[in-house]
Amino acid sequence: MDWLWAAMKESDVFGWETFIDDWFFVFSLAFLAFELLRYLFKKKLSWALMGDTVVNYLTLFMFIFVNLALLAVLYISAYSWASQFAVFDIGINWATIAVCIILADIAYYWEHRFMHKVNLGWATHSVHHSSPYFNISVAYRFGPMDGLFPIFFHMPLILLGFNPFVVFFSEKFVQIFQTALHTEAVKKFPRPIEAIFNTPSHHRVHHASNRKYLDSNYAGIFIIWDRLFGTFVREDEKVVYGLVTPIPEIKTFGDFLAAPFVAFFHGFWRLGKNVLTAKGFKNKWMYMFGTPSWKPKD
Amino acid sequence: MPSPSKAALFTGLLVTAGIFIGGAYAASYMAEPITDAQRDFQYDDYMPSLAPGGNDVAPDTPAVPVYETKAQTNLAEYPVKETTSSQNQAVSSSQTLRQPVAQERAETGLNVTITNTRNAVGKVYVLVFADAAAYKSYDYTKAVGYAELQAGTHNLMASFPELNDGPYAVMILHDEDGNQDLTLDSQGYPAEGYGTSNAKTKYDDLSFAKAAIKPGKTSVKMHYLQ
Ligand SMILES: [Zn+2]
Repeated sequence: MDWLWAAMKESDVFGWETFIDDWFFVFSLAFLAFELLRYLFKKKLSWALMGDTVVNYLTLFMFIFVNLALLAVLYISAYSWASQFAVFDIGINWATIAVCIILADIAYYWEHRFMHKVNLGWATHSVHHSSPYFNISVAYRFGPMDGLFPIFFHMPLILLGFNPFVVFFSEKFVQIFQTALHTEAVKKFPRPIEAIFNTPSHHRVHHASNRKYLDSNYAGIFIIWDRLFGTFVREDEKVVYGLVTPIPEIKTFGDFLAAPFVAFFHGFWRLGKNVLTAKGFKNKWMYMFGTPSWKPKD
Repeated sequence: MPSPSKAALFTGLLVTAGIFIGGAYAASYMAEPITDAQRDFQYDDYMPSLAPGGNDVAPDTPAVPVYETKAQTNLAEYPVKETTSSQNQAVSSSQTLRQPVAQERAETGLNVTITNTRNAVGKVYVLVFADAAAYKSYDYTKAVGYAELQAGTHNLMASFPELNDGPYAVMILHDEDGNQDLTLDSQGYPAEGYGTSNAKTKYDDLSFAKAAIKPGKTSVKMHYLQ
């Protein structure tokens, strides 16, 4: 087990991140092909589904553009600045990376819960939930500011002394794990796995618009956080994917051309409209920082 | 889902904070503190705009290890008294903020104090050479130590914990105009501050053997011709 304790360099960690991220993307494309074939055999493959799949990757491109143009600078400067105030000095090896992944998973839980329960977060995260389908391409459907909120929620790890590259690796690891859960092809795993880990079954519930499934299963890797903090719901009725108030379906070619932009900006469009038209400071504030279910009294 | 009570949310966050601090504390025993050799990503190289005062170091940055971290540069701005008090040692390296392994490390290596910098404009470069030829030809690609400090009128400090052998010759340069070189005037005399270890006056042009110092604490004075 020497490898577990062998000191690693920042560039090693970064190299592993790139390796895993890139090859997982290749795997996900192959898996998508398998899923589409599966839908074909089940006679569930439609132009709307194909169009939605393309839209997912187009939002990914827009997301990457926003990240490179704005958020990467903020991310790196915030982490490198904060790391000088670190409490502990935590070296880099696989053992400390493993601990960091577990902690990053809790950070992800709260970040994800925040994105669902606060309008500002929901404006960007609702993009991810706006697909009426559930396959691995949906995992790559991102909103414009999806890269912003993780910075705040993972900052405690930097301040506690984890190396910024280790934190970055852990964030991405949690995200990649969760990407793999976006599928209908896997029903349920054996019970011990379903008890501890987040699984496709648990995550289908998270993507559901069924009333009993709302606001549940925020987990990244471990479902135990949902069980611990009271947000766990089991999958026992058929899931209807998407938003409670859905965005327009893709029916015509014109819809398809508009769809990437509709999907990418609909959350901030809704947020902006609500905040601007609301009367009084309190209502504007609540439309910004209240929960999405909040409505003005009159 | 019924919406959770405020108390449940508060307890949840408290539990999370506990797991975070406990986890980080445990992790701090799972690995030795990070050494400079492990930090091979310099954020400034990848994010030019992040470097204090913009980054003009990009194309011909010396291909030598950069021992200074951001934190050290900031700490170097603390005024340093010319004593050997323990406080002095404490500010000589950011590593000492992180007890106790690093504290031993700060006692070793080469610690350079730069005195007499006349203003806070631009950067102060510190180069450490271990061989006479590189020193004489001012070949910074063969320097064994390199540090880049924000200029300031107080004493500046640069730590090179790895430099334990010696002899070394230290060269300093106050790059006020930001061209990463010693600017000369029309007559070919230095227009910016410069200095060498062991130099007594601004006219001292020392050979490597004369400038050579042992590892430990050393003080180098910045000189200006004009
Ligand atoms: Zn979600």
